[in-house]
Amino acid sequence: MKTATPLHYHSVIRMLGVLLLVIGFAMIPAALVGLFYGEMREAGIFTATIIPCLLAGLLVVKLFNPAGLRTRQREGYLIVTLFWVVAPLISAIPFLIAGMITNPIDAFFELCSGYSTTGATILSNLEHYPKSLMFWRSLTHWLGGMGIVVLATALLPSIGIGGQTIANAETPGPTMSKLTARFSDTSRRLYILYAIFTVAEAVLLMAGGLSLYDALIHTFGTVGTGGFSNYSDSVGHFTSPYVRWVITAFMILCGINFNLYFLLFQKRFKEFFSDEEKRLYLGMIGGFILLITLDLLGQGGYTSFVNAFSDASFHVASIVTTTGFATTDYDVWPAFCKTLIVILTITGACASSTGGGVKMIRILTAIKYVRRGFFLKLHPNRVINLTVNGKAVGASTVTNIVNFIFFFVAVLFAGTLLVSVDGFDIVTNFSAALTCLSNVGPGLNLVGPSMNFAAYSNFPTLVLAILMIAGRLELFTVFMMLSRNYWNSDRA
Amino acid sequence: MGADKKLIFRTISAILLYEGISMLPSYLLALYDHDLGPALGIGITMLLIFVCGLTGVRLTRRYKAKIKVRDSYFLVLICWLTVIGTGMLPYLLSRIGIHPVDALFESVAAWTTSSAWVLNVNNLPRALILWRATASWLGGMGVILIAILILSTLGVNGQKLVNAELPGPSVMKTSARMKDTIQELYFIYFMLSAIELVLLLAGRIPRFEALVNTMTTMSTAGLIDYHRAIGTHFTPYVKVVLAVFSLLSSINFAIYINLRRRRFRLVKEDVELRLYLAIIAAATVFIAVVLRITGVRGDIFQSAVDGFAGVVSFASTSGFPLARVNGWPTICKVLLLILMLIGGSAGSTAGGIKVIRFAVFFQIIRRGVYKRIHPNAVKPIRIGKRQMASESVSSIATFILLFLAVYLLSAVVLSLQNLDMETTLSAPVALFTNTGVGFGLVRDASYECFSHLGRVYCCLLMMAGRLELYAILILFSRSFWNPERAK
Repeated sequence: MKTATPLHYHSVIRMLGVLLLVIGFAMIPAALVGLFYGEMREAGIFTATIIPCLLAGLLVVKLFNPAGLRTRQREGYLIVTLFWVVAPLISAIPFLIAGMITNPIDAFFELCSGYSTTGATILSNLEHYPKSLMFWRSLTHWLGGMGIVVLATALLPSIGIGGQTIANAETPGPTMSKLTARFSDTSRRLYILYAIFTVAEAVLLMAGGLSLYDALIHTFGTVGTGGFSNYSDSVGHFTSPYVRWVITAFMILCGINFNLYFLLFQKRFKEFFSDEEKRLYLGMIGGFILLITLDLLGQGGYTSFVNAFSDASFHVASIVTTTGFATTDYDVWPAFCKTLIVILTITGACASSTGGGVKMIRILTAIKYVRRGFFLKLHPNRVINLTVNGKAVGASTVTNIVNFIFFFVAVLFAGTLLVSVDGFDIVTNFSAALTCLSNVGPGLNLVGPSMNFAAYSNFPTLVLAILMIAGRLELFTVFMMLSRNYWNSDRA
Repeated sequence: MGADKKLIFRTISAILLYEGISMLPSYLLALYDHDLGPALGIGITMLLIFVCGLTGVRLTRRYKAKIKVRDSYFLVLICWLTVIGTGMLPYLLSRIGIHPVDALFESVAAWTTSSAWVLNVNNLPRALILWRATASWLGGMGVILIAILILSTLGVNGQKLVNAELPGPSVMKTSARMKDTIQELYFIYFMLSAIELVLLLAGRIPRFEALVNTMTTMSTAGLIDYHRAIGTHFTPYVKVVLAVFSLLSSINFAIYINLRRRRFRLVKEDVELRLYLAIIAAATVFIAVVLRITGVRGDIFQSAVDGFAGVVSFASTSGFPLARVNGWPTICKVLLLILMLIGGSAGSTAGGIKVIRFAVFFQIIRRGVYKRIHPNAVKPIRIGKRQMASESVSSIATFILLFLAVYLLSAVVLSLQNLDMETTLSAPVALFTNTGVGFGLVRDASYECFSHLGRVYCCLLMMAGRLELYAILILFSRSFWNPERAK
């Protein structure tokens, strides 16, 4: 056992200063949108939030400069958790001042939904709100998609956080392969790729006749796999098949492990195409689209194959990548389609993408693990390795993956129980907890795609907000804070 | 396939013989009621299987064998299929217009101790109801258990069979000789049933209702609401008796053996027992308080009784078809759903994941958090003071993952029926844990809303749940059918 060392609170506080700076800068585009559309009051509110944010941030960073203190993994978890709790709190301020959301807990929920790229909302009649605030709401998707900490290290490599170890607590998926020697280089490259996707989609959407504003809002929702729209009927507002297919394609692209794209740049095509996780992901998308299309034609009352296929494709892509856009109310679809959607909500997208859920790589490993379990039951003395992409997966990685799946199930049921205090039906509560935990957004029944979360009272709203953050940070980072072992340095 | 054909033949024969004998009371009841159809149906079946069984046993009288692990799984499955197949004959041969699929469903539900039904008991002759209850009662302890008793007297080593059959991760070796243990278990089962019957009769329950409900509660197969007996006769006293005995039969039966041997310390330190009772107590108090606060039940006493009955109904995977649970607040229903998933103790007649596995599930999560904080720490899973072997832990983890996978798959299959989501998502849990009672359309354990094809799948699901997955799923693996590959 190592000697007991207390948590380094200095570096934690310093990082919060950095967070204030990041949020302060990020709000500037929103203020500009306000100016552009002549929303002077909102622009003023943003300015009034930005200035104290930046000043306080600068002050904290200057005052807390723990020279020589390396940030360890242990502080990393605390930093990341605090980041993800404080960011929605600060970002909610403009909404509260503007009176767009009056209940602070609702505002916290909405911004948690934004940063965690969930897309669940308590707002209705979205067309009537100020454009600048709606822009800020969607921008949080973009910030949260790749990770705030990753963003901070990409922008400010010299801020002195440990990089990789901390970002591991924030990046979705079990492993984060090291692409470059320095982590800040990796994170910068990730953000460059992210920016390329963003620009490409926005341009393509504008080519389809969307205004720059609409294009940006939906691009943020897509590449961050969030799902906020500025229309009540979500993407269903755009009748053009072109727009819907562009969004479908970009959702699927952003659900793939971003590290894989670097293989393309390095001309390692074989590795790219043979990646097992990606194959499972695309295979599932293909299979589920087929099944849902057939069921929509058979039981769902669709008469045109093209309509059924395009609606099925859009929603499969939207749910599996945990985006949560909708073109139609899938809650009226047959039970078979809805059950498949529930399964997609659980599986989620690939690791190291912007999507949430359990993640394909974990599903893949779990399937192989179960298969091996069978084999061992029959042939108790055999030794079999578990391999993914031709490489043996270590026992501790497998254990971690099983741990995660169990934790996910436990939190899902505990969440359902807590959310049930409002007395809505079981399906509503279960799907609300699930959709928030996997960062999808819409659920079934009362929280279906045509409904919203406004009906929940304060306590369930808060629980759902925490589920979103916990789901985005892959459970352990957040729930570790509840463990005695984390705080008690003597036991370390 | 490497299973021993003679052994299979002998086991089936023995089972048929005893199943034939067990039909006798139902047959006599049919005669007493002057019910010609059931008398004929049960009579023919009884005669048929009795003669077949007797001939088979006589033919293989000299046979002795040792059982291999692989064979034992197969044997268990064959036994279940045999009793289910022959158990549906009385429904069919009674010629009262029962569809073969419905007969199969009733037979599977009875033998797997699920309270699910598709034939309304009030339209059934009493003889068939008694047969259903008898099948549940026998199914409760496992048909195989009887078979072992027979087999071991005939010189076949039964230990391995029990491992495949008895629900749960481990069977405590409470006795050096398997045969004695099983006889003792059966004696306990019989005694508990007798006590319950007496207590129910003391509660002024009509004789027939008391008998069938004793059989079904002891096997955690729920209740049979014959002629609305539940509404008219079920006083709080009766409810408590039924719940207590359902609870008793969802506790590991090894506990009773230890009690009889006066090994009280072992009982007191049994982690699973303590956890199970703690879960039941906590859930009862919680639900009673919620029922009282929301005013579903008038006073705290009635809330407590209803809460206790509801909790035991789901936790012991009995599934009392008391539709009243559906009027409870959602938070209670979600809690009941969780209890149903956890299920009863290993080594009992209950289904579900089992409390001991749930404890391991929880410990795995705790260790996961600990290992994130201290990545290099080596921390084994502990249950009580006992340290679990990593193979057992991974075997349990595999089981739970498989459980979840089968659940999701079943939800997809059953969703083809296009029912509401509450039914679609809760019916697979209800069937798979052998509870029977779910939410939505299956709230009173009626599966009439499913088509015949859907009912066949329900049957498969109940079987898979009862046999703890492995025995069935292993049959689908290539290496089972091709032993050469396995070498």
